Amino acid sequence: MSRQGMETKLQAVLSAGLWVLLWIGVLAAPPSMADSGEKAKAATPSGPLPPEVGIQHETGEGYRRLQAVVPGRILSLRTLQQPQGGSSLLLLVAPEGDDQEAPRALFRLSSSGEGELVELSRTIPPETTSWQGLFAETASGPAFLDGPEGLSRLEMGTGEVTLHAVTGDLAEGGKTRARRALAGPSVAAGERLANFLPMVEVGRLSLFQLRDDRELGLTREMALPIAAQRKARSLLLTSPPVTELPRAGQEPSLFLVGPEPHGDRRLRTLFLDPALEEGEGQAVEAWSQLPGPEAVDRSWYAWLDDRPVLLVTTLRSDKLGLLEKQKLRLFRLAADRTRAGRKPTLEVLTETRHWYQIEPQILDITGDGRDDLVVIQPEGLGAGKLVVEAFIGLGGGLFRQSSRRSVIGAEDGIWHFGKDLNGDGAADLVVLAEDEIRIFTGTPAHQRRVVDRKAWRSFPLEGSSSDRTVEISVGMSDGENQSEVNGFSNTQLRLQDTDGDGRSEILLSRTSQLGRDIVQIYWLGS
Amino acid sequence: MPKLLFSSPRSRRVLQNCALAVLLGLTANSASGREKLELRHQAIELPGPPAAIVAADVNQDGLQDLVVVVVYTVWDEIGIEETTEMDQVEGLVEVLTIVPALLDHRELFVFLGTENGSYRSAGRPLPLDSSVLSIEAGPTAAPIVVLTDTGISLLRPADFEGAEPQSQTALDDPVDQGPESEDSGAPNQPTPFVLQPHIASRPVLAGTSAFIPRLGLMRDLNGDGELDLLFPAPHAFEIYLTTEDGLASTPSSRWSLPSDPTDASPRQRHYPLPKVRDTDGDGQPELLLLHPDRGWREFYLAQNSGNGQFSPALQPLGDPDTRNWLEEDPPGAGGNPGESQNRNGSGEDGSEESSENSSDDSSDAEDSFEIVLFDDIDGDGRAEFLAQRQIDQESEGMRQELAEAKRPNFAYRVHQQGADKTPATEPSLEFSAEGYAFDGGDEVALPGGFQDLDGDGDQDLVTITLDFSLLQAVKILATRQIGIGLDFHIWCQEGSGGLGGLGGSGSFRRVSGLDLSGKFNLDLNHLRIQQLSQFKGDFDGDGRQDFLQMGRGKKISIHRGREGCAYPPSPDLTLTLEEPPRDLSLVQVRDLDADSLSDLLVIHPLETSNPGVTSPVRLDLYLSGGGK
Repeated sequence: MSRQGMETKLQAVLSAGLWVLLWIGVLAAPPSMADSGEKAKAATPSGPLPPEVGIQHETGEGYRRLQAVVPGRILSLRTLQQPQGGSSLLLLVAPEGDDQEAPRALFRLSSSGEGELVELSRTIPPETTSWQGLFAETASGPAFLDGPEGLSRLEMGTGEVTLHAVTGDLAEGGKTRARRALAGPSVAAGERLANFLPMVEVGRLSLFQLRDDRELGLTREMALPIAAQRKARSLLLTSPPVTELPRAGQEPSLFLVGPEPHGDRRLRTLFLDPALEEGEGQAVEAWSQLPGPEAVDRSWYAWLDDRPVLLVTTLRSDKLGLLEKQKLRLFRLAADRTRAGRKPTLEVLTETRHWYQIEPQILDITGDGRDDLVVIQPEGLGAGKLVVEAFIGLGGGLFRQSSRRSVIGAEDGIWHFGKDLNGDGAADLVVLAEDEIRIFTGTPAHQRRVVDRKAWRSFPLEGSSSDRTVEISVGMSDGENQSEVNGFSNTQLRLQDTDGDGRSEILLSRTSQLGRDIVQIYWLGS
Repeated sequence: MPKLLFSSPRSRRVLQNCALAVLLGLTANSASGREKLELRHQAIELPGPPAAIVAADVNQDGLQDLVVVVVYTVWDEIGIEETTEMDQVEGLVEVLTIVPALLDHRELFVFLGTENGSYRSAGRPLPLDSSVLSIEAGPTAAPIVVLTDTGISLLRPADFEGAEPQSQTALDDPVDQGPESEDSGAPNQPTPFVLQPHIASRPVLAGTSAFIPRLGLMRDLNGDGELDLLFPAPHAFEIYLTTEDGLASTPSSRWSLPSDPTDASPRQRHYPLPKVRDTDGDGQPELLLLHPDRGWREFYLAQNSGNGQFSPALQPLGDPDTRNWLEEDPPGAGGNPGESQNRNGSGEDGSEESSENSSDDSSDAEDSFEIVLFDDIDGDGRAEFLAQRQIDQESEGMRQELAEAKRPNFAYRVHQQGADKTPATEPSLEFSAEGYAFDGGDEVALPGGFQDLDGDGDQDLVTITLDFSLLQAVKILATRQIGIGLDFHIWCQEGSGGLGGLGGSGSFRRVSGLDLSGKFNLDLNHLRIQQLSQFKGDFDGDGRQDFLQMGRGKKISIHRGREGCAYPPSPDLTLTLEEPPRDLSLVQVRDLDADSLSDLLVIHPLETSNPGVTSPVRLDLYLSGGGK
């Protein structure tokens, strides 16, 4: 049975199963499901006033914090590297209130000195909701701010940065859908400043670049595969996801399309290389073979020892396991004319149930110049623990047989792994859980553990005690789904060197229920 | 490769089983004193699952033939020419590398109908490449219409006068040639049929390499009884009419699609598949485009202007954000289950069992009615709007919630369409009924809803109630299987002259004495929907829908429809299969031999030991023949 067919069956079975199971409430929603954004919205604290717009500083035990309150909801946050080192943040903000038609504002947050929050513009079209592939140069160069609006040029005129909002029809004729392409998460550009502005629509990948006249121009179009599926009322035409893999130097990025399931055993990846001229083997197929009948849940493309690889998490496709744990597969990608597919070079049964997400990362944690794979896995039905498992690379995309592993208490938090926060050269783990920030330091390469079991530092999150609200959902599970919201929801965590000292700071972007979002930057003491 | 198994031992065994089953059926039938049902069995083996099965008179000999497209994957070889340098050889060397590869094959098999009602292979299958997207039965002069990347081709006998085979067939491309068999003719023999390009136009599916059956390309668009072509161009439907000269090769009109519904991702697009039905009684069908998610709650209607022309699309329900006529709860809404009330007429209790099912009207006024259908329910030629709302009872705990989940009650309102195609504010009829009629997912529609069961021209309501216990639902965690009892209920439409629209007295009467219960098996180990019974097919040609019972293991039984939407508890015919149907989609009811009697088609996947390669299948045909 084809993957599409299996998906169809799975959907059908699930809908039919949910028909029964949800009605009678046998399956209580897992805790992560209970803590939804909808509920956060529903809880409207009546007492506390929104914080004052501006910048505040606080010093605690082992840390210093800058908190910036913006007058509205942060839609997107981007980093701009400063010429002198460090970075400032660009914040796209929807103003306070319920007016969906109100223009967006753009702020720059600088953390140097006392910090500075500057409004750069308050006329960004209200349809602008996100940025992808921010194209930026500081001081002397331009930057693209891509939103779902058109090509009207947005001159910020600060002398520091010039931004172009991509709006309108980008090329002659038939490009109206391209505008929407900008709003979707179809191209993952990561944090890198892209050399192309890629846009994806059904059947086509379009690449835009700044021309010599400093206007945006279409430089390349490449065909994408289209899958067609018959639905009850329509034909659904879909192109696979496109991932941009940046290459070193001035070489343009490589674009990987897929993975496309063919049956329940094979995955197809298409390489699109803009560096090649048309007709020069621009599109090459790579095939991957799953160890058994499996359905891909999530996928990532990455470089591993300078070679492209595909990472997928899978579930069995021939059986439905209510408590099934995810499997992780890693495939090296290369042209495959047999179409049979390469077998995975790494197969892992993770500790994570299918309703939580694991996070694989490729980085060199041993400092030997070879890439390693670190997989962070929430463990247990309620994700009360976090397993940090490292597969040590041998070079050439291969790994040692045994892995290094740490298990820490996390209570369904969010995390970031990979940056060195204490200056010892090892990658550390930052976890946000139970209203705390906890930092677990990385261990030396010869140890079995990946990070220390005990937190090196922990400090409370803003608002964790004074304005806490408790929400109890009342439904079919009769109060079993209980979640706590401490005045904020949708916290995003990243680590960034904001002051140019070579050490990363902890950066939190937090959505406030009181209408004004905040950005917090934590500097750690030595 | 196709093998006709009419005389194989397996076939004989199946036939014996069938004969026994038929005998049992006859025994049961004799009590009712009705004429007998009889189905003939024929088996055909294919190298892969059939992607499309189309019945048409391909060779125009007056007998209905079968055209089957098979899509399958097998190991094959590809040759790659490369230029390379070799040691000790000066200059470049051309190297031909033969690489084994898993390749997708598409082949078109033709089985010719014979005088004795069976089928014989027409010879070597026609290899198709990935530019062939769909096939459908066409008008008399073009019995098989093929949608390709470049337009429309017609399937013609190879010796057809003026036939110019399309170069796209894989005969020219050794990569796509499928395996051969002794039954399908020698590999170097020409295929008996070819594709002849007929219309040059790029369809929306071009480049997808997908093969999608039952697109609904061929419809009677001008009411003349011949099938016309509704061609899916990227941003419009192109209409090609069939005239005395055959299917036109130039469009009579292009109908631009309304703007696409917003898709969640720029990487996807919904292209509407229209319903084609006459909604105003003028004999010319309209185009109806339903929203991919919201369905009838947001649809476009294009009125037929004649001669293959359609007016610009309009939305009969208006802007979904501003309409309010459904939101209010007029006095008298939400009648008791089983009760129908004619708003324009006197209002009659059409249910024999209304008191049995009556309950306090404690419906939740916050819930609004939603349009679930726009169709000619009362048989007057004009479509009505049907709105539905679930009648929620005051919750008295889990036990009652469970009971409601199994046997819900719905209130219905019928609204006549006005001259401007919008629904009348006041309903012309209100009634309520127990059971699910319009629920189900996008992929698996419940076998409920409106159907003309008794062949009287108006539609009757089929609803479904469920039966399962809390213990069963808990057990699913351990056994990974659940059998959900399904019971069918019928509300038969009576009266004439429309449902109160013109002062008629249409109403619905609950049919009593039915026993059509079965099981809907959910097996988490195999992820397949098995055995869903349905009202489908007319096996005896009396114009009434028969009931196909597939909820009882290997047995498939047919209950013939009687007058007044009645169905006997005992089947009129029972077939015993070698194994229970593995999948709902593997059992189809079709009129394959064009005798106006339904036939049954069961697809049996056969075992294969080679992973990655498609399993061959056996096609079991149960053909009407003895009939009445």
